[in-house]
Amino acid sequence: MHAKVMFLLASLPWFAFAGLENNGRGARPIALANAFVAIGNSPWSTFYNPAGLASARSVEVSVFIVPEQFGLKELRTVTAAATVPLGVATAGFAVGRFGFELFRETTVALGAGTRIDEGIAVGVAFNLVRNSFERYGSTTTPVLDVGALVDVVDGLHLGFQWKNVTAVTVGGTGETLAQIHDVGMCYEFSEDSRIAIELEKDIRFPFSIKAGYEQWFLQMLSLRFGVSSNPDKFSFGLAVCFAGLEFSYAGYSHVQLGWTHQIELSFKLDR
Amino acid sequence: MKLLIIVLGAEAMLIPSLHGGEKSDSLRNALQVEYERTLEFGSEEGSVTPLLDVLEGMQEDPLDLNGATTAELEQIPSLSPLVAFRIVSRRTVEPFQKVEDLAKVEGVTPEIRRAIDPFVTVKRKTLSTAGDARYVHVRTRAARSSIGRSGASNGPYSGSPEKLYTKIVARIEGLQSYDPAGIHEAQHGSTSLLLGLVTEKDAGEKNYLDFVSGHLCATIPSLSARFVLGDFLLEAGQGLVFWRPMGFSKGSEATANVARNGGGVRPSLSSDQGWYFRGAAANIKFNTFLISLFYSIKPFDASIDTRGVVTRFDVDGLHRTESEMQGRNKVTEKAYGARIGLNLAEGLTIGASGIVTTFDRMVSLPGAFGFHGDRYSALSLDASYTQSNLRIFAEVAQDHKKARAGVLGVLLSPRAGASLALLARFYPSDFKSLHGSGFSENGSNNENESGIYCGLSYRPCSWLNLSAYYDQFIFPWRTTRALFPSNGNEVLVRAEMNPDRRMNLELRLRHKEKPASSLVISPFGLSQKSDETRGQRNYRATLTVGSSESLLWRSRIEVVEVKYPARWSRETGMLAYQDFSFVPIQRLAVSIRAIAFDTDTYDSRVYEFEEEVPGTYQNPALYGKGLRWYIVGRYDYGRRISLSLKYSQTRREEPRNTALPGEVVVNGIDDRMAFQVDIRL
Repeated sequence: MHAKVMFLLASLPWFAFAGLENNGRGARPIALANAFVAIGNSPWSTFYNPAGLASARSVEVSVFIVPEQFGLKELRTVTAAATVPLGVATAGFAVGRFGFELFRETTVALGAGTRIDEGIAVGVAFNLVRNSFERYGSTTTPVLDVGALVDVVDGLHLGFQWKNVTAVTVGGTGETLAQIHDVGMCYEFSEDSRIAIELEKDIRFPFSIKAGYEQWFLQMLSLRFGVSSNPDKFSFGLAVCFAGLEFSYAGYSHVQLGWTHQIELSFKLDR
Repeated sequence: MKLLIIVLGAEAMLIPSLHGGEKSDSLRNALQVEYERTLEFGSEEGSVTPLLDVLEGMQEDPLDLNGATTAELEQIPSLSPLVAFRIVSRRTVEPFQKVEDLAKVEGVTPEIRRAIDPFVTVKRKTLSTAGDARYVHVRTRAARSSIGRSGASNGPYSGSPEKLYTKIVARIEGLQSYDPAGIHEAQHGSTSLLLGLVTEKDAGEKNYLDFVSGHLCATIPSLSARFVLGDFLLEAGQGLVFWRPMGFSKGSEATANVARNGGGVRPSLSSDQGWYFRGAAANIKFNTFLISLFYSIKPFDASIDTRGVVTRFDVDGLHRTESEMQGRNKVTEKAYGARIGLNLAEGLTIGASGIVTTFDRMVSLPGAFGFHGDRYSALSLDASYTQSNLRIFAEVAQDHKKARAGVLGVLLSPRAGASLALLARFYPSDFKSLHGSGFSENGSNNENESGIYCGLSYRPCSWLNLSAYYDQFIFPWRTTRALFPSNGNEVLVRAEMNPDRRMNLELRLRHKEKPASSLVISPFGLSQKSDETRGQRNYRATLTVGSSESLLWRSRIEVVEVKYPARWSRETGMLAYQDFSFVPIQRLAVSIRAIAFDTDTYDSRVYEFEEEVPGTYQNPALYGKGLRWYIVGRYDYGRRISLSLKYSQTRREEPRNTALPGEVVVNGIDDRMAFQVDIRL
């Protein structure tokens, strides 16, 4: 079984070293096909666009679990993230773990987002990515991400994130961690519904187009859908929210690898 | 002491009008957009340095709305000749008191006002008590790239990897009835002197003064004359015989740059080492005549064959390697000529231009219609008639072998906010124009091309601006890209919207079909060159959001599609960039841009026009898979000193081909740094 998993890791470049970049973190972003760069106010903004942290006005903590990816328990992922408003800026914290004993990736991220002008926010995230290979040792790599978010007009937001600005490599391998540009927009039809469209360019792969739609009902129940290309994926999700506590589910179907399900529990402490 | 106060006071009042670079940050952004619209298309075909120099010259010494001629105002891109005519007509009724008065001129929309603002001013006539005004601008720039470094260290370059540039402009002028237009309007102004000097060393060149260009220009209003000693250009009619290299042709503004109006002799201060003149020249106004005369002796770089015959002119100015050094100044051109213009009535001008050229070597350029011989001459007649909503313009030319070329056009503004341009051109295969650059598909080449151009610009409401053009062209003989006579066409459709005062959205589609020769394999396995149609479509969307005067966000997505229908081939390319300009602290302006690109091949490359340090722009062709980013900062140390710094880096997945062996891109990373100091006294 381990050989099968290692073959999968080696043959699918989107798993190599930065295993979660294309599959995402957080049930809400994944349900929206990871078209999340122009959507702020989420603990997951630390990963998707640290400028989005500037929109967070309350302390929020989320725990996200992927019990199996593509039916493989070895690709289990557990991540926790939080936002803490600090006056001039909002801080974001996240810690995540992916993999199994042969290959494991642990990420610790610290982000901050702040508004610098009317309708414009910028953010930065500092990640420490530790890759452990059984019998080969481990290496820790610092990664810097930057982002910006602008309110174009009322309800229309534009976001940009650049992951791995400094093009760092993993240990002495010379292998560069994924360098990704994301640009997207989000339009809010109302407080309860929004659509997000995003263009992603990983330097190694063709452009990927992602789109997601979210609809809330009675501010308690949310339905989410998303599609993306390169690779082709379809996703959906739902969330139930009550008294600051939110339970979310998301599932996506990879065109070749099949379904993956994930759940999230988050708690928001309104001021 | 009193004199000192007067001088300082006069200088303080003069400097804002002289310093184009002192405009506000929002205007700088507007200027960058304007430069892109004007220079983008030309820079895909070749060097736009001469165009940029003209624009920067106007930015540095803005045209006086009360003194500039129609021809001078027409140099401003995006300013229609009809609007220029209305500006000149209006000031005879009521002189401009301030630039804002332009809003009273019919056809000057807020967008046009923003676009021309960096290039115009209203100069005061009340400073005469201060005596002479002196203005000195020194600019020095150094740039270094990773390719240049590798070229210098690995062998092919003989010199150091830095590119160095220095420009000095000194102007002394009497302020009484200050009039930069000089010969045209001023009857009472005083003499002005302009001294310009440019030196440049390209990366890999040994000599720090590898290229030197300069001029001394005297404007003497009492004689209604301007004299130039040194390097100069001549612009006449529609550019068939005389024009600077690379004239404005097609562009996003479909109707603004179609009609031309040559202003005669113009001092040249360009680092572009092309077809300018070196010698003496004069513009003299006599009653309703405007006479331009010149004599020039200028060496050119050239490739010489074993018989000592010139087979190619090398005007790129590069002297990095032994072979490039060998071609230096191999042939000298002696030229003289004149242009006589006659203003018959208000708006009606006719003119005649002629040039005689002799080379000190035989020239035999390749091709059946390539230039052969050591003598060249050409003569042209031009005419234009302008009213407030109509211009008709034409030029016919004949070269020394009796080949004739012509341009005929009309510019019409049937109603406010609408304009239409039509232009027909006929440049036979055997026609030669060594110093001309008329309206053309090929950028600057007035040979082997006929075509019809139709442009339309319409502003149906205050927030929407539409423009489009269609150009159909025929190459009656083979070209560098096609083996046989061929034809093509180009369409551009553009919509610019301002739905909100903070937001601007531009959508553009450009489609071009042009012949291309390529290597094909026959069913028998033989390879041969064959012509085929190459169709290219560029889809572009640009969103600009300005949250305040000092903060600007711009996003662009562009998709390129290249098709060869004959072999069912389709290649695509895509680019997305985010641009963020802001002022973090007072006097410091910063611009950051991050670009992602992905193209199937070099053929489907995407161009990305970008700001360099002030006075230079780049339009790099991006191809393959990669990311590019740059940061430009400019700090104004007081009003006299500006420091500019740019760092750019391109990361590619695959190695990039370079021009010379030994030039290497290490790890797919190609970076460049440029630093510039501007001192104004």
